[in-house]
Amino acid sequence: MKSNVIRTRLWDVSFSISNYFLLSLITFACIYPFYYIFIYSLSDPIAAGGGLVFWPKGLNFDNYRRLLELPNISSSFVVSVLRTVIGTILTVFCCTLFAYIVTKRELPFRKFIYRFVVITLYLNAGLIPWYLTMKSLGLKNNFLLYVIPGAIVGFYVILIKTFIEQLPAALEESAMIDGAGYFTIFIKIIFFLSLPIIATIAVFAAVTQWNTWQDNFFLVSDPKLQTVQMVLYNYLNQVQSIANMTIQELNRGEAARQITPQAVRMTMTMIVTIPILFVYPFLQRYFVKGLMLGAVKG
Amino acid sequence: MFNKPMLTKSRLNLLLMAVPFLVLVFLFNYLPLFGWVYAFFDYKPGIPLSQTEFVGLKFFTLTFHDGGEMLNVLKNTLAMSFLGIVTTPLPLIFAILLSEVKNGKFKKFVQTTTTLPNFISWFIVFSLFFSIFSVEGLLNTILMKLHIISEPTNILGNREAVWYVQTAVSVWKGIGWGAIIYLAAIAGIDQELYDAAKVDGAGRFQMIMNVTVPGLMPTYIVLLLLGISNMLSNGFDQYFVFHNPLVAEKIEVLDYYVYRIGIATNDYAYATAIGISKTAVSITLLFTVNFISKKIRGESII
Amino acid sequence: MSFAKISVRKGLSMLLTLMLLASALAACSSGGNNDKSGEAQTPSSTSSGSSESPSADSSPPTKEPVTLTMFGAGAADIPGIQSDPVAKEIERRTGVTLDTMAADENKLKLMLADGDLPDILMVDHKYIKQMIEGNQIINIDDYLKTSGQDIEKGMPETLEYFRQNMSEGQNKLYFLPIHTGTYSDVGAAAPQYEYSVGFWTRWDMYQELGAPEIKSTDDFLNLLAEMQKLYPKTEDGKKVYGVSAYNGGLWPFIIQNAFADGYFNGPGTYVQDAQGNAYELLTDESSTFWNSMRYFFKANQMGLLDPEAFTQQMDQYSAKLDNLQLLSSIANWWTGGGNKKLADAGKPEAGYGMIPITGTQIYKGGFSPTGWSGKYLAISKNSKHPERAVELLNFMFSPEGSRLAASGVEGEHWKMVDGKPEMTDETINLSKTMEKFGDTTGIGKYGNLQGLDDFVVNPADGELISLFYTPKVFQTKLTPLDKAYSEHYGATYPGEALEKLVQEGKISWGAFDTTVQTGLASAPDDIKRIDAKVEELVKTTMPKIILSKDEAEFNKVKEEFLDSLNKISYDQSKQFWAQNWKDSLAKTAVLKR
Repeated sequence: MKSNVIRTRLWDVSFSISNYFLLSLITFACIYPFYYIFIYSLSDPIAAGGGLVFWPKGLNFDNYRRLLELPNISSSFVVSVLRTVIGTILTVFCCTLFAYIVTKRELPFRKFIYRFVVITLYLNAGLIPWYLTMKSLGLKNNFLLYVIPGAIVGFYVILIKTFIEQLPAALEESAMIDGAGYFTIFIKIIFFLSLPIIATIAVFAAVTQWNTWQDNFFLVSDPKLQTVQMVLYNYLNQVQSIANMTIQELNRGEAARQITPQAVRMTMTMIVTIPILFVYPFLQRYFVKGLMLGAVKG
Repeated sequence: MFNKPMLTKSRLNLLLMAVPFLVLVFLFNYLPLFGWVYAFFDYKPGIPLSQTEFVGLKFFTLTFHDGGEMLNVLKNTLAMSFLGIVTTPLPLIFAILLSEVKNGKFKKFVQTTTTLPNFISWFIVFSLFFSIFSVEGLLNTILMKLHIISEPTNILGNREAVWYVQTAVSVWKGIGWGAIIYLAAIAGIDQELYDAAKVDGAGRFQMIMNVTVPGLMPTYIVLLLLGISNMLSNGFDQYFVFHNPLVAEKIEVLDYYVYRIGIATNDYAYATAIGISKTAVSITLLFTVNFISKKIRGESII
Repeated sequence: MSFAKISVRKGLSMLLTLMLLASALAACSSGGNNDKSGEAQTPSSTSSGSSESPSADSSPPTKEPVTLTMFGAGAADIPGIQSDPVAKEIERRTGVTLDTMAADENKLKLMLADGDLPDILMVDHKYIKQMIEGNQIINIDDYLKTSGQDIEKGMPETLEYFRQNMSEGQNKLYFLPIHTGTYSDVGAAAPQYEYSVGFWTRWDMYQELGAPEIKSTDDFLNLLAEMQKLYPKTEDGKKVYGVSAYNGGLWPFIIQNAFADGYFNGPGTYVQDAQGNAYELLTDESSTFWNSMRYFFKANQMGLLDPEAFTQQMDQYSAKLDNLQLLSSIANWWTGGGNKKLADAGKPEAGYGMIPITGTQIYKGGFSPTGWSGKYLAISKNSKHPERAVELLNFMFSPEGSRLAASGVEGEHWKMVDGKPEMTDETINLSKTMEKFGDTTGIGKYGNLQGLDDFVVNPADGELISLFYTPKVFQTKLTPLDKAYSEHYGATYPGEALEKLVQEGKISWGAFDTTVQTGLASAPDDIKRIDAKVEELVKTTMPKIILSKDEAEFNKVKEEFLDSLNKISYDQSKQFWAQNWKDSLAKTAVLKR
């Protein structure tokens, strides 16, 4: 008996140690590249091309200055934040409610409806039809373009439905017996029980919203509606085209290379990712078990 | 089990609640499919369809005439998709390992930082890869110093290793992010099941195998099914940045091939035809695997 | 549960506030464009950004302000209404405000499909047929007499040529060329500060080795081998290579040899000589392609070739030059970093200089009275102000307008000094130091509207359209390195050094008449597909050839390659292109003088 307990404990401890070790290794493999990008963004672009290891070369903030001084950068931040917040809330709400409806066996045409949604993962009409459709729906130069088309994402619906179907049925059944309607049950019970998956979808949707620029690029020319990604991408393009210029154009008088496309990309990554990292922990505690501050089942 | 009688008021209500969402799905996913008609014409943007020559299935059979190239492209695509599918348990295992960590701070830290690769664009992934794995890069320098090898390796130019290298890079980029779904699923597993298992004297390992893994199965199976159906798509960016003449033959996947042909021939219609073919194949795979699953596991996934 | 209840309420009220905010934004944006979204539903849409002029009548007095949208104006930082000094001057002279958009090919396809083109477009050869057949652009002839007299005056033969050959047989003027007017003899004579593509190497080391005369590319490789012996590793321990390239298709691997041999790149597998005759690259074993392959093969045999030449991107190639890991460079576009590093380390006269290999050509440029091939201006049928668009082009095609685009505003960027125009000192200074020089000043920004080329002589004052090609400007660009280089050849600036060598007969100029390329027809789809396959074959075979273990393997790979070309019907493509070039030469003969 005792030896059994000792063996189990030994096993437990060695498992824990190797687990910590393995996870640390993986973490290092994930964090070092990001650290590299960080020090690159703080380096002189030409010096950085020679290779960095632990410290920036020619430490300066010029890369950041150049990007943060771009015209319209602050208003584009506002637009990006708005689109992320509104878009995420809308997407989460719609996908969750829709997924809940689809879990109900009594939904007429349920199988058809679900498959109707699942198949969208494999549909891709192409750039031109997408553009023409968006335009004819009146979404050109319209903020709603940023939030409405992304409201229902097939992949999210699938994930949420799978999650909800695993919840214990008892809670829901007792509420139904009490006479509550679908919507009420959804808001009062399902939503909270599904917080882990909802937080997950929120993270996915938020990151997608924050990073998307294609809809901006093709359909929005209004300077008031430009997103951060678009402003940065335009700048990157310009730096790249200067880097590719022929000598005839250089003779006309462009200054010698002071910034490289690579440096711009690195700095863009930092500028775009850091805000996400600030917001992330707030959602993280919902989908990582053991991090929740208060029990949901009340 | 549950009889589905006539359309009761509550059932109708339910359907009506679903309608607005269905409309959204239709508008943004099915409506643009009118563009599929371009694949049957010698379409060039700018010339209205009414003035364009109808060519029927010409672009669909074109790939068979091309023979050699398309065969190789499909080989690469399927090989890498297969390897991708083989690695699907990895995020799951990672999620389990992570959830076994007791220390909350460490857990949070690991979880957050392992998602960082997801935010690094492929262009940067390439230059990171280059600085670490290039002939003068970190890896070779260390291996040479330790006398493990005498000649530096040129991984980026190694044609035989391409499939494995690309798979490894994909895993690195996606494991942390992909684990989030499984973490959420683990968080959704009823705590009582763990308590009951503990009472039965189950050790950590048994709890993982008997409670956690079964709890993750439905999610895993769904994602696996979706992944298999998605076999013909590998994404474009990754293969674009890692493409070079030395590895071209093995790295050219369907998405890259469409891009290359598109640039050369300005063939919008051809690209559309390939897109339609991809969709057809995916949907067929989807229903086939679903059918198989129904036979084996007794329940349909979709 | 109460905790959760509060968050729900909070969440919902936040949502409500945000929705109000968003609907305000939506109203804000769609309010301004309400008529646009309404219009979008009608099949014939209007041009996407031009605003109405106050008095929109059919024959407006020419100075009414109007905004015209343009696709592909040049390198603009932020698309939209431009407000640099050049743009303002254009506004002053023509009343036109320019609203530019980035030249993205996908965007172009969308606009074509939608029938919603901007007022003015700059497009490539391959879109000509679609735009004409789709009835998307106007016949400029309709406005030429009333609004475009100067265009007609300046280039009547070119316009006639365009009518005959760029209108799908309709004999209409759909497209206008840009940067026209330079014949290759004028281009050959115009001085330039320095030349770009060539056999660049470490000038300081060349001096150390006694600056021997280099008579062939083999000599050059031997020189590099000597340098590598002197300098096998960089300061930070990285290996130094003589020769490198990057993953950018065929170009980095053949361009140095092509120019040296006297060829200029053409489409696909053809190059041209100075007069426009075509030479096929692949099956002709004495072609410059095979010369290039042999050059890289030898470099590899001698241990000079960077093994990553095939796998690295231009960024990494450039970084290696910055870090002084390479002893030679394909062009001087990437050597600035390395030069700076040496200068900062106290060796300002060290850096990269171009070795003029005796008996070869130095690339001076491609010139044609028909302008830059592959870049043509058109005016969309949707334009509400086609006559104003033609007026704008009329101005930009005049010597005054072209001078404005190339050299900036008179009085601000250049001044008349003793009857001759000169760049001002401040502007010259800015061009060297200001980061976004072109964007801020507008100089060079509207290159795609410039009708007359930089090297055309302005009849009004006898100077070139671009005022940057004068000894005065050249003197300001001299770095210690450039000075050392020039003085070695007894000159005052690098370009002059090469000038001298040409006079001495050691090298010759490669000034190419590229007119023939405007006359090339675009290939039919099946030829295009063959060409795509050929391109891929070349790309994948190139490393095999270059990395062959020895001469025997080199020949074996070559034979296999030629064999494979046969298998993919390359001779069909050859036949087409050979005939295409011949026809084009005949067509464009009318433009020679």
